[in-house]
Amino acid sequence: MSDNALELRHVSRCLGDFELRDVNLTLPKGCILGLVGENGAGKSTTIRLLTGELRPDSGTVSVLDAEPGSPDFRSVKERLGVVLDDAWFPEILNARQVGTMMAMTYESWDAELYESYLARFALPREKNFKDYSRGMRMKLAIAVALAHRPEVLLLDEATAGLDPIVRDEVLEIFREFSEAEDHAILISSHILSDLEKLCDYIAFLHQGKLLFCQEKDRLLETYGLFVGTRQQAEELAEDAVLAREDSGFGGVRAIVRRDAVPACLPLEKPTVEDIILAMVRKEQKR
Amino acid sequence: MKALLYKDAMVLWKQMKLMLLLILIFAVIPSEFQNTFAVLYAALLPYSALAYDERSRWDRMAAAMPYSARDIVTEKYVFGWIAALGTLALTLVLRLVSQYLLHLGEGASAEMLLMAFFGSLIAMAVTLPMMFRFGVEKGRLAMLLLIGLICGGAAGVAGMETFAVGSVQNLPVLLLAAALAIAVNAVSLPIAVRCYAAREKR
Repeated sequence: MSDNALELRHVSRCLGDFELRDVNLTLPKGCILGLVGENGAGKSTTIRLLTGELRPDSGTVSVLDAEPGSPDFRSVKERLGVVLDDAWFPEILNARQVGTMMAMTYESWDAELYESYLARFALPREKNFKDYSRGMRMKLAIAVALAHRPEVLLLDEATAGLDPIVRDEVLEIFREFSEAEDHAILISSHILSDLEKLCDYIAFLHQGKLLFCQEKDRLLETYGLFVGTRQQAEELAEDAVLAREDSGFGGVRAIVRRDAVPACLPLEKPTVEDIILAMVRKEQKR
Repeated sequence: MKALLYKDAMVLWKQMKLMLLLILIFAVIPSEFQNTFAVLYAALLPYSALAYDERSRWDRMAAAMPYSARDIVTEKYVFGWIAALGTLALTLVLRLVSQYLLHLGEGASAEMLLMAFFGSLIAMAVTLPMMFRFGVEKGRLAMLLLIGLICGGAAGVAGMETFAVGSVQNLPVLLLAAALAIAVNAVSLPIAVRCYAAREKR
């Protein structure tokens, strides 16, 4: 049995004009991987490959040691909790009926746990799904994804549409979930501050290509935020600067590689968002 | 599959009360065409369930849950069979009530209704694979074909003069229709599974 919850090896998939190219990604058990990238970068396609909704044109995909789409993957889906970028339950059903249906779907369905999430998220049990707000829809999807006690969570923009208080609560639930040794989470999000709070690893997709997959702490150690004058910035080695921007009044902010600048140069700690945005800008310049 | 049957039953019960009322009215009216139409109309129910699935994009959720393509397709067939059988039973009871208790006049015989039942099974088997391949939106041609089969079937069954009530001559025809319905469904189901799987992979 592998120590990895998920593995993608040289995976390529063409979808109309878009192509996911030669993606290699590994998520060890007990870890949280954040998948970032602009719209159309390939995040949802990656998740669809992991759920078996799509098959790769080439390469191999493995989830809990099974190939998505293979006959034994059906039992693996019992151990997967998936929240897609929107919840698509039959719109005429209510939360109580969704619970009844899921109890018939998952062998390990925990009705009490489901009810506790409905109460925690203040979701009305008898209101039709079509009358839910986006935030409520996502909360119901999260409750369903967690109530069968999965081992791996695949979350595609799962926190989008949630207000900051609920988002924080949901992130805490995910963090609690990941504390179990054999649990793992892959989460894609545009809200990079969420990923910074939650993730152990960050993977960055750009136009269908995986630019890097790195430990978050390593990433934050690798790069520093330079804040200084334009003149000081000019003195930095060109290959040390990931991206720079004027901050007004002759000042410059730049994301730099710590190992490529003098050790005495004072650098601030950047956020993951600073680093990712710098990388996007650099890629766009190419 | 139980979960999927529950879902479709809940969705259609809430949405299709009017359609169910129509089936009831068609069943009570003392008219051979209307009565057989009620039973054949049941063939439309899996399409309505598919249309609601498509509208709510349920397919994407289902793909992430422990259902196989075979489960998803088979459930729609089973749902259709149960709907047709339920409508047949209901129509038979309503015909008895209408004819013998309310004395509203004669309608379709039990044999005619059975023929309509087999007809609805055949209509479903002929058209469902196309729906699974192209979806309900693009599968309008299949829908037109289904409506044609239903109307033609209802008119055909209603016009079968040899279908005298209780005639032993009806038995071979009914057996032939039953065999045909079973055979067509047995062939149709695996084709529909393949059609659905091919659509999923795109």
